[in-house]
Amino acid sequence: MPVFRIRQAADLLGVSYDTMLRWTDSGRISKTTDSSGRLAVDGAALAELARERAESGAPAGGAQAAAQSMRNRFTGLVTRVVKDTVMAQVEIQAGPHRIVSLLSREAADELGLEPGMLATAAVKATNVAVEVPAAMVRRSRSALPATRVIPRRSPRPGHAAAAARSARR
Amino acid sequence: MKLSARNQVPARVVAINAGEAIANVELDADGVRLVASITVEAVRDLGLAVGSEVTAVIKASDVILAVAG
Repeated sequence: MPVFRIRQAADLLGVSYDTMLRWTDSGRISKTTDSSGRLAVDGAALAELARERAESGAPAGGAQAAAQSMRNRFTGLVTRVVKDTVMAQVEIQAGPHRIVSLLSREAADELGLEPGMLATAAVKATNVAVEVPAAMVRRSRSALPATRVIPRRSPRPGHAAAAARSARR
Repeated sequence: MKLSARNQVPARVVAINAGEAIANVELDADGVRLVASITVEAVRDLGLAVGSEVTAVIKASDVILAVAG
């Protein structure tokens, strides 16, 4: 299970170091230690807290949507609209996220999209790719089924396990 | 609410094949069969059941064309 130092956890949630430290002291998020014995928080608990905070702080506009199957929504202000004769590029600033949509000019005109409007970018769940930091991939590679690992060159026997051990250190 | 998606097809749910995470929802759009792969979570949120009236929404850049040949 991944753990994060206090500074890193604070940055991920956009709060100050002191706030994150206060939350660990008050028990709002449980504390643990990293591999060196330094104060840290559990990744899963941090993710739960991040989700709760995002939900409680979400703009009210997001709640006005009719029932839809789209799992992912980013509500924010339109910051830029560029149109040519066929297509339009629309940018939405949703909290810390800049979302870019390419849509037909017909659609942009019909919605009257212009900078300053409240809009929601919706993304179907099957269209979302997931990336993880390279360090985490190295750490977990030995846990993957052998058939999933395609080495660029023949590794020595035990290479993956040794790499995993050195990554933990 | 208004949508940017250019294709919005009224349809009726004729079958729901739910797995652990994803459900394939079969639709009848005036004689045309459509299938939507959506999360089981979405099926529950929308209260979908056989007979539900829905709108299939497809972004224009996701539509592929074929011609006889």
